[in-house]
Amino acid sequence: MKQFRILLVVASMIILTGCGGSAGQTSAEAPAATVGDVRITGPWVRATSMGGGEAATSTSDTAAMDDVKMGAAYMVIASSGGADTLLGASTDAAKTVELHTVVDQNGVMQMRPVEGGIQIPANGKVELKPGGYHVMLIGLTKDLQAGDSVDLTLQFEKAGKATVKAQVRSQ
Amino acid sequence: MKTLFHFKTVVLALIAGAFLLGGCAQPYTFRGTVIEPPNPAPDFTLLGADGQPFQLSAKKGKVVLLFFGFTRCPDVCPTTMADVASARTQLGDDAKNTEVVFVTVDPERDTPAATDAYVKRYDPGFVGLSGTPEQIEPVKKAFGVTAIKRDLPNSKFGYTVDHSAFLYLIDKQGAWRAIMPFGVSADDIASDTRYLVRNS
Repeated sequence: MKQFRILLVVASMIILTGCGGSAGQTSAEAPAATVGDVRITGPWVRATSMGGGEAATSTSDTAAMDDVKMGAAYMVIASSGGADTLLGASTDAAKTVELHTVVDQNGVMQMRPVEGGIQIPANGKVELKPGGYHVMLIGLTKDLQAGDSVDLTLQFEKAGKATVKAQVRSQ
Repeated sequence: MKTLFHFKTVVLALIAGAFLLGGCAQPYTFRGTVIEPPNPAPDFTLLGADGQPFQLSAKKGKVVLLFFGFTRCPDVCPTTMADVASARTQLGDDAKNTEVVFVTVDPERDTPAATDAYVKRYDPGFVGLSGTPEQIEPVKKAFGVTAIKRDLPNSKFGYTVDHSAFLYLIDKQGAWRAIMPFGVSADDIASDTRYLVRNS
């Protein structure tokens, strides 16, 4: 009888694990920067190159591409006090930095500059993520390779300036 | 003894059932939106790098992942391209039977060479296509792609193109099988693509 019980357990284990989904990933991160009541976590910039394809590009194409290289930075900004506003940002990695958002209207993605800055609610947070708010880097001064980092200075209305090191990642 | 025999049968049946379930023997459920019935994907010929023509129907035998975007697109297109690149890595050997095609909706600014160079940054196997606005227009129409040029006077960006950001999955027979909206995971893209590579 004992063996059968063991077999039963084995059988139910196979049933349970066979079609298991993937576990969600969560990670508590230390803030990349804190200024006043504002806390910035997980800043990252999408890599513009994954190391492939450059060889196939001729010099003239590279020159033509240079002024159109775009990047986007993402992060979570939280306030442990009153509301604040992210007014803008600057970096050596790009000629111009703007705050943009994307509105999904029935699958049509509409990117727009954010008027008046990105609001951080009192005792709340705002997430800058793909397909939503992002810090847009216009006219990158260099290719962003995964593993590099970009210094980004954020200007808040109340908290003032904070500089974060944004990791360059492919995803 | 008799009860013991029955018990044995039950256990054996359970084990057999467990293996069936464990192997996920139920029919495959697409992660994307399924096109039913699967119609032939609208064919088109556009220009690849160095101006050589690229015809969609010539890719039969491979699963084609088709996306419409533009090279100045800083958020939506890189997100999708990076996810597709990651999905292709997950596919391993099955990736050889896939073709990722990016058609620009901004032919005025994106030359074939620039479009191709842009997508090859994400995966050297990707193909970027452009053409004249007159050539791109019917392709957009055939796939139901909306792309509207918008001036952004307060932005250094100049203008942006509001565009549908779906990923279109075309099977090895050239049939249009599924659509995935913006924001699907690389896992979902890999799953549907792998299914079509092995079952079409």
